[in-house]
Amino acid sequence: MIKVEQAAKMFGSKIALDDLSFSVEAGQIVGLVGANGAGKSTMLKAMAGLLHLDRGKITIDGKSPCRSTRERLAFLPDLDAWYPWMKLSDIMRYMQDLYPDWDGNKADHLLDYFHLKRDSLIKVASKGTRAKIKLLLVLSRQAKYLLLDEPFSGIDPFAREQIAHAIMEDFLEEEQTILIATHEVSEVEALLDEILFLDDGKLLLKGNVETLKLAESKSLLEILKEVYHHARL
Amino acid sequence: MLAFRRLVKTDLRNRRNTIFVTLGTIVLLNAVLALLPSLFNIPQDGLRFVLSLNIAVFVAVLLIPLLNCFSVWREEWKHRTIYHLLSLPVSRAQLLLAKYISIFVEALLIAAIMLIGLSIQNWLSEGLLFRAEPLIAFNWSNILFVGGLLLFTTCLIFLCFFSSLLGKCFKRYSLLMTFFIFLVGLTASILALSNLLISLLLILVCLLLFWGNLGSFLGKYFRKHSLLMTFFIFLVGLFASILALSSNLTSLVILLLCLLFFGGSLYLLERRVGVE
Repeated sequence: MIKVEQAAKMFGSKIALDDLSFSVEAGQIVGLVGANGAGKSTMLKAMAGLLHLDRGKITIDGKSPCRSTRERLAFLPDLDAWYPWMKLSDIMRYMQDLYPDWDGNKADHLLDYFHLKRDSLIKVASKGTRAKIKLLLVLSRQAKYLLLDEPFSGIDPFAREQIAHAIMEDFLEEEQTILIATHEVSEVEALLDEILFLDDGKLLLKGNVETLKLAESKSLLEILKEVYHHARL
Repeated sequence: MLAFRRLVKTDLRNRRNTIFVTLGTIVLLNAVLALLPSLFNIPQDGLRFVLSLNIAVFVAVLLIPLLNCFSVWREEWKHRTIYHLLSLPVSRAQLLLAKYISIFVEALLIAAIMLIGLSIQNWLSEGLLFRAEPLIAFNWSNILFVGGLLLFTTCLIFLCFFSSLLGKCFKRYSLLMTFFIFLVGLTASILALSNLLISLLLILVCLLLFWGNLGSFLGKYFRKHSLLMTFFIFLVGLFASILALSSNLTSLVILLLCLLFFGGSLYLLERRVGVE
């Protein structure tokens, strides 16, 4: 379980996380949803141990972010984080050596599924291809928790469908806990069990997607818009 | 160990082009310097000028790994690979040591090629230029000298790492702050070497401040991190040999400075620096 207690983070005078508290149960797909600058990426980075909170605490299976929690987490950043000389084969070798939970067979399967070539140089690949590569690297690990930061950003609809299918397939196979940070609600709505709606670093809404939709008799996007406008007022 | 090897290999691969270009340049410069006396019919007493040129080239090429000590961390932020590096399931100490080893290998390669070049020049000038034999010959004073040099290089590398990482904590003028911290660290180190006893006490206090309870921290850390322990043993061994040979406190101060800068870098990586 991932538990966030009163997490606070500021960048200069900008509040990125404002006393945020929630928990994510194991075996769920959770959407961390919000507008740009809501604090979604900051939250995921803090969970991955990439940045330190000013206040508050994050625990992953009872432990603060450390080496052992990093072993259980697979983080997909929203930007390309690879050395310019790296080809896909270099990265796969790198991942294989650094992550004990790397699954070579799964990587090969995803390579075929996404129609990727091992000898393709990452820095010259298209945005869609780079998104698929990032996803391949994350899904090829048998990590307990997957943190995906904007996995659909700037991707064409066909590739989006492919990516969503790959995430779902992975979840059904391994029952990982998946946390998806995105502002594209309609893209992830069908995937999600739970939703966490953030705005200006605050948690505006938390709940089961189906329960919320049934209770309000509205689409998820409509519910979120309503909550957002209410908060703004 | 596989993970650590991969980290070192990746760091060396990141600077492969720089290393090859540097080594190629050294070979070319050495070839030019070797041919200089015969091409221009430089008399025997004029060879001192060639020797000065050699020393200048040696110092200049060793500045490249020194500059790389700073860029090796800054490049991680520039290429955003810090995202990946900090989320790896390896200890921060391994990240530091991998970069240290890659820089050390680079400096050793440069020094080796330069020494080979100087030896060839010496052979061509029939023993009138630089003689590497006294340095290469096996005796205790040489071991002491080379050991001290290695320890000092280690100290310098970790000071550069510490400056770069501390500089990253400043959102504005990060590069300028890095340079400033490096200068302060270097001055403090030099002062420490000239006031041994006082500096020993000061460094020990700093070390304790960094870790609060240093003993329990190291004990806990070393049980988990055999690689770090190996490195620590290497440093202690190096220091012990030098101390045994020289019976002075200089090497102890350098060793403690090494640990101080290493500990400081580790602390910054664990608790302070990150991404935005």
